[in-house]
Amino acid sequence: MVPSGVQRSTKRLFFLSRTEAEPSGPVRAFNLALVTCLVVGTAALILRSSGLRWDWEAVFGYWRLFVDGWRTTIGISAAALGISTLIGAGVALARRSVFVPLRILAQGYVEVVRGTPLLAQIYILFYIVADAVHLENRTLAGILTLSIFSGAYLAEVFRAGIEGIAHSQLESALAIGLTRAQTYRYVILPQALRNVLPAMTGQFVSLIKDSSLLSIIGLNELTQSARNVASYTFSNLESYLLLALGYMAITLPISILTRRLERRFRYET
Amino acid sequence: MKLEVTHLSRAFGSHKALDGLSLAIENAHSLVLVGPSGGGKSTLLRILAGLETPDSGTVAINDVPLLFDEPQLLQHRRRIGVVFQAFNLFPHLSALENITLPLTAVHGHTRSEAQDIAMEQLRRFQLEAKAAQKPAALSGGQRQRIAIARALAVQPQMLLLDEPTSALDPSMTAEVLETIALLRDQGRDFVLATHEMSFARRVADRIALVSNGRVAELSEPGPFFDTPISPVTREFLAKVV
Repeated sequence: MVPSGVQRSTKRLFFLSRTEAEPSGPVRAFNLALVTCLVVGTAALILRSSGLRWDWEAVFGYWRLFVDGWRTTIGISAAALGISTLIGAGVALARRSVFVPLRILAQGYVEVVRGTPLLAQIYILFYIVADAVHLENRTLAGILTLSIFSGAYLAEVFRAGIEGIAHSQLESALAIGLTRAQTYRYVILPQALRNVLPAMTGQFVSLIKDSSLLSIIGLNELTQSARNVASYTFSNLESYLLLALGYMAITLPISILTRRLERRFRYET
Repeated sequence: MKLEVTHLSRAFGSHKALDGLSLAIENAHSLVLVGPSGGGKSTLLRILAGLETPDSGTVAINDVPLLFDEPQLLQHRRRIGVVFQAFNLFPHLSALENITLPLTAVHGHTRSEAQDIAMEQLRRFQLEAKAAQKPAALSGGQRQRIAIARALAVQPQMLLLDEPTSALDPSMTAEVLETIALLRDQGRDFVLATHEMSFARRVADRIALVSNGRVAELSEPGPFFDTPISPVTREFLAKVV
């Protein structure tokens, strides 16, 4: 049956044609509005039938706690992000080192950290290791734990990025007389960075959310604040909704920024 | 250039890529290597380029022996220009940056000196309009010519070209071959491995047939094509010409 004109234009409102990679502006806006309505409507229905009574006032009374916690979360995450990137880069290089013990050490680190829960790592590093080396600053201990955890994942991301560089590129680098270090700097890293950008952002976003587990060693970050407020006010739902929004406010800009960077780095190979 | 290769051997597993290859030329600007695929042309070029180490044998370029330890090889590579079959260029750098990278990173030129040298090279090959383009936006022929420009920009002692047109459409082969012919006219020293027989005849001062990891015949192009001595050469020429 040949589709009529009406059918065809209705179809074009919702479906991409074979030649389109992205929806056009109006089609995107229309569908965005549609999906938003559906999601908000469903959420409203669920809330109404659950018979919840909102009490934002009690929660807002503690807004300072939220802001302090939020800022702590940002601080911890930013520090851990930097340190874990350094660890990840170092371990990725160590895994490719010509010095065998270093290779094995790096691989062992990655396997142990990726194979155990963060919760266990936090307890072990805080109550055993930090105690043994007299590291009493909880914030610093938390940042280091999170960095060690995330560094293992980043090491694997970076390693995949480095190994994804075509052999012919290394050959060309050698032929023009670059040293090993120069090859990394001018040839491997710029190309690897572009390849790993999506996976790296994913890991950064995870890191920010994983920082919530640091509440178990009594760090007053966002999760701890929300939990405290919830227990003071008995407004669980409100506190945790704010908590979720707080994390979104950090992770969403990172996602958007990465998408921009990806577009800037894009080139065909 | 003067080139002396003696008893060069290199095996990959059980495959003998070079099997005691010897070759000596003097007072020649260009040496062209022809022969069947897998005969050893590439391995010989890679050893000359300092990218591969032989199991045994010696190489001397202009009476300077090539020493196969890493610091010496690095210095050697910096004196030599190499062009492979394909994928010579770095995809994240523009044509201009591809040429300036070895100039600034390896040969100690300032940024602006390097840019002048690179633009001069591009101009000579009529590629200055492509300076800002990334390799993906260039044709295969343009990419190869920019690779040649990059190799020349550092003023190498000699150029090694490993089948620079084999990965190209016939329509693009001509422009790359013209560029190489230009090198010959300028009296540059180069060693070229190729399957383009008529071109080999045109640009070679000496031509060598490399087969089974040895040189079967080495002479000037006239005698090589018209009165070949080795039966291996005759058989090869009968197949390809």
